Amino acid sequence: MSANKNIPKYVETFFKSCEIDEKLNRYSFFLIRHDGVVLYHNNNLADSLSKSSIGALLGGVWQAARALADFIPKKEFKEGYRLSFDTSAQGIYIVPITVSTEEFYLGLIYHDEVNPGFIKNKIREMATSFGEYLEQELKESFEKKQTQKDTTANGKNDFLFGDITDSEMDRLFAFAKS
Amino acid sequence: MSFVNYVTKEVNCKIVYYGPGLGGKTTNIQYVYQKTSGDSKGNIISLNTENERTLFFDFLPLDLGEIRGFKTRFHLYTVPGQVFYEASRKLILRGVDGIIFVADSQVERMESNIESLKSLERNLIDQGYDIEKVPLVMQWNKRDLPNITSVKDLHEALNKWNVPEFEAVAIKGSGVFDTLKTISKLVLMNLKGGLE
Repeated sequence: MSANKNIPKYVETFFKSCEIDEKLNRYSFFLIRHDGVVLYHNNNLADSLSKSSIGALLGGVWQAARALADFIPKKEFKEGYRLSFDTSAQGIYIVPITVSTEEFYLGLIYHDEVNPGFIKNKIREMATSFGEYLEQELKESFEKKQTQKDTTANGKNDFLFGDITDSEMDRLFAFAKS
Repeated sequence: MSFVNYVTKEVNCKIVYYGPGLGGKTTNIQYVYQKTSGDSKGNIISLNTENERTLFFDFLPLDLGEIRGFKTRFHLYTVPGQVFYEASRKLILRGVDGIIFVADSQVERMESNIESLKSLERNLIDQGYDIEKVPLVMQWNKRDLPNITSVKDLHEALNKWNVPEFEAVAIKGSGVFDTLKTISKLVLMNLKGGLE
């Protein structure tokens, strides 16, 4: 039950169907993979920073904090880490979501908030619901695949593109100004 | 680890520029940024020290356009080259799809190149990668400087896998796009995932 190519579909379905708290909806939140790729975003920030850049920074800051946390001698994980960088009214809050062997992060960027604890709690709830939903979907998908494997031989390890010609690459790089 | 989104028909890949300090990794992606038209590039993010040395990473998202119906998006990262940032380099290599090793051609930098390449091999192993299976391209940078190692010697010392290699003068842009185009091709051809 590892990397599943249907994850984007599950993400979309989850966020379409879940009722996002009105207060939370005023701010920006991002669901990203461990490598910073954005899977979902509700971006109300200024356009000066693209969602890819925000994803890379959220992923980077979490990875750095997690590596620092490894220096804490007491290895007790009664509850998972969260990351908070804030003042009393604005800040960044990241919650990890571990599903099977994959890790995702839900990052919130908020401002002008009189009750940050409330929206942080809402983000934690959203992370928990998403984790449970994804776990269930991946489990079902895995079981379905196992059944299919029993009946048909498939070529799922095929390369997506196979051979790519130089002219296809030239077209991809046509954006470069001479 | 590349990411293929079959819902939006998008491919996301991560390319890391690796190499010794002051070898020209940041210069490479700065040149790509300068020469890329507005719609194709996002903001360049640089987490630097006060004297413009890379502290954590540089990041440039690039939208390359479509290939066989899939939008391709490349995320270019550089690692900090200075020796004591080993922990950061290890983190940035997570999920890498392709590596450009930027070597400094100056004779006196050969030792640093070798050291950096050893660190790359070590860090890849730590992340569960086999360097022989990760798309890799070598770039011999700073070919315009006077006291440089020959391409043959660079090849012998650093390219035991016989991967594609390019001479470059990143500051003037020479070789920058050739290197990027080649690693992009290798990465795209290495993408797994037959359509379901």
